[in-house]
Amino acid sequence: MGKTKKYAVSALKGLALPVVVYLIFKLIRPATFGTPEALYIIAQQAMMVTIMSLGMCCNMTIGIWDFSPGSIVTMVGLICGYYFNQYGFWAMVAAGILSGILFGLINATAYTVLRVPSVVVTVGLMLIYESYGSVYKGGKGVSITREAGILGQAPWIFLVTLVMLIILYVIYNKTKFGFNVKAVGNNELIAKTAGINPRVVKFFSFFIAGCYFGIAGLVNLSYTTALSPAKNMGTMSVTFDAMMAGFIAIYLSGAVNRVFGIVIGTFTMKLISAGLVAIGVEATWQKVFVGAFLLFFIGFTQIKAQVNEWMNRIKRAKQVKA
Amino acid sequence: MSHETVLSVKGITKLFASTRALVDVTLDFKAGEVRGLIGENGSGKSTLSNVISGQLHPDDGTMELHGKPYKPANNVDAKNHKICMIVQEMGTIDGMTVAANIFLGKEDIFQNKAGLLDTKRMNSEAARILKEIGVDYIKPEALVNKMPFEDRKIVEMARAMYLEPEILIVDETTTALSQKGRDILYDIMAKMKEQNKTVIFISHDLDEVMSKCDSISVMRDGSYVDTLQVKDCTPSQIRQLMVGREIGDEYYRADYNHEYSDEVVLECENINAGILKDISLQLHKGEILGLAGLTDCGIHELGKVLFGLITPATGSVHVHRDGHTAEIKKPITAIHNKVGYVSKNRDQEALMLLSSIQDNISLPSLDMLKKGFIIFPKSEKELALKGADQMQIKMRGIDQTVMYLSGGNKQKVVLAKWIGNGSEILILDCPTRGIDVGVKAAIYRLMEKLKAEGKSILMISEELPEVIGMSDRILVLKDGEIQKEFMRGPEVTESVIIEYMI
Ligand SMILES: Nc1ncnc2c1ncn2[C@@H]1O[C@H](COP(=O)(O)OP(=O)(O)OP(=O)(O)O)[C@@H](O)[C@H]1O
Ligand SMILES: [Mg+2]
Repeated sequence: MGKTKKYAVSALKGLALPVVVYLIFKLIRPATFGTPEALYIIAQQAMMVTIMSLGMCCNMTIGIWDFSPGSIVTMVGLICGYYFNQYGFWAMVAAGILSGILFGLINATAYTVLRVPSVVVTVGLMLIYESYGSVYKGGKGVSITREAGILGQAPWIFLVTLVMLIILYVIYNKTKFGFNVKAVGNNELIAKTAGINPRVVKFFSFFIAGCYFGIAGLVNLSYTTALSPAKNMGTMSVTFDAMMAGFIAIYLSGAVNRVFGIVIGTFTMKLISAGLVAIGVEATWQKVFVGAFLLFFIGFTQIKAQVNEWMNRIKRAKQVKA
Repeated sequence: MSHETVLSVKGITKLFASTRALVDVTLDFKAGEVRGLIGENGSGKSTLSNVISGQLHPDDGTMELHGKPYKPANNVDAKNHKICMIVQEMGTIDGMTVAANIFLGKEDIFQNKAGLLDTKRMNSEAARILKEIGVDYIKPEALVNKMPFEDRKIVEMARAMYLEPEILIVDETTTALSQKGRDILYDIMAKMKEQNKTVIFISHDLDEVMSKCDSISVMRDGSYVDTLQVKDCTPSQIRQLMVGREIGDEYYRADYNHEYSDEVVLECENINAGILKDISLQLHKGEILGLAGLTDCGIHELGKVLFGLITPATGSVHVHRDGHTAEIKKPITAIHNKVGYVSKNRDQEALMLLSSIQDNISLPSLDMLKKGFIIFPKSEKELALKGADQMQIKMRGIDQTVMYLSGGNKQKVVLAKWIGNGSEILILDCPTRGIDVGVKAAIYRLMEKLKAEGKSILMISEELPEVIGMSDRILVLKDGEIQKEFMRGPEVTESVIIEYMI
């Protein structure tokens, strides 16, 4: 098979999932669902989650569970809003980037110093970030002007995501760090004997994640232009969206690179939400559907292998009989 | 060719809690020689290798490399001193390509000025090294996940050779390799010798050691015994040094009769699965049935099919016990019918590495031990102790973690587990892999005893001498088909069997 042909085949495999999801909803609601304008809006909505999910990519490869992304995005948004109202646009951008770095450092340090399972650390941090958000500068929430939200509107929102995507693609596939992430994720012990320091790798993985969440927070505020503090783990659903995109990417990783898989994943997730709205499913039930989809998806990866084996056996039995 | 001393080990002692793994070991390694390192299971061979390759720090003693003090901080430091090791256990990482595995931890070599890795160059370098060691069928871009154990070992060899080591340590690798893989390794060793470098070669196969090494160092109970030149010593001399007492040349069965009952206990019919083509066989009560063939001829798969681990495309497996018959479709049915299975792939398929010896041994017997709902710790302990004792497992105590046992002792735990369970049918895939001569003899005696008790054994092995030496009947497989059946007898020799294998 030629190289171009190979790329084409893998692209087709990767795009099959969103296309199938699209067609299903299109068949049910041909008039309202998935018009070009609607797709354009869905694409914009998918960008913020894409940036989050890109940030989670290294952590997921290593096997670290991070439940704090949503709360960081909210917290960064609140900080950005405050700085915009005090000092203007560029202060807001700087605040977004710097606070992302800061949260990255806090997460990374907490995880490496405490040596507690990542689930415990990040759930703890999420509760802290959420609570701090609700008292931050009076806890009233923030809003910015539409003009200031330029990074959350096309074409800027796409450009920002594209840049973040390219950076992660390079980090994940073309650097020593990226190789080490995969080594530690698959077999920490062997990685260690090869001279890789897993703790350092994990630290940087958390740190990179934080930086991405900072940008995601900035883009999120820019897109919504208004934001109020979250509480009672209210930030979990967006964290889950990003995580699910990551799972879809893992599933697709045989065919497409993890980094591109994430984009396909977030887009698919948003298509599903939009589709459920289009066929008139209530908000609560939407969550049920999305949760079921996740379970089905993870399960499917397992089932697929079994079905394959089963098919092979039947084929073989037929050959023997012939 | 000069034979100056390259590495000297002086008074090395290493303790693990109360286990004395190495006691005051002093010996020299010379340039341009292949040195065999032999000794019983748990005699300290791997521990010494780990000290030399920087993975363990000795409690006492020093080392000198080229006359200068050598004190490796870790194995990366040792590699920088051009000392590499191919380990007994699995050393490649899933989810990464062959090239990434070869250059694991050494990715910097391919970093350009911008800090990015040149993966193209990485792949071509990997291809070059693989070619250099004589392998061209392994592709640098391939993921190692789906590769067989043997090819993964070859990737490890490539990793070691890339560093152009001055000293290469090969720890008990050959038992995991087929002839093809062994030849690649032997070539590497010969080449190193030619370049006036040093190879330290650990193996339990005395014939192999005698034919590939120039000299042999013997270890016993953590102490260094002696170094002999191969050209002026005999196998029985070495064996005696190893165990400290005389072991005869003959440890296989002495008889040539092949008596067993007509009663069939395990049988399969028309099995087609993977490479296996239309296999039917019957195992009888009190029979030792040998399955011989090359690694990839299907013997190992057949063992898994018989235990219910692989579902065949066609055909069925039945076990007959106390007048009733059951079809084995899953391992649980096999276990309930007192069938035991020792896998070739020890660390991945046969052991819970992080659990204790006791937990491992008693696992398949828990049903048997329970009184009502409760399993009394005492009876569990008794069972485990009995098994450990029977197999002469060298350990600190029954609660020691299996991971820290020496390779051969791990194998004994696996055997103890199925024997303790009172299995009446044992499927043994390479049962003596990595086991020293003394215990090998003990296992063969045990097999004879089990046979005398009316138990049945299916022995899958790539080592022809033991198949010939122990089996009542031998089935030879080639490319997934049964080629030939032999009954036990003096006329059955290696050369006769090999004809049907290749
Ligand atoms: N990390 C460890 N912790 C505790 N005990 C250990 C550890 N490593 C090795 N030992 C013990 O030290 C002794 C020597 O083990 P070693 O692995 O060196 O034996 P070996 O000669 O390589 O045997 P084999 O031929 O079975 O591989 C054994 O009794 C083993 O149980
Ligand atoms: Mg060993």
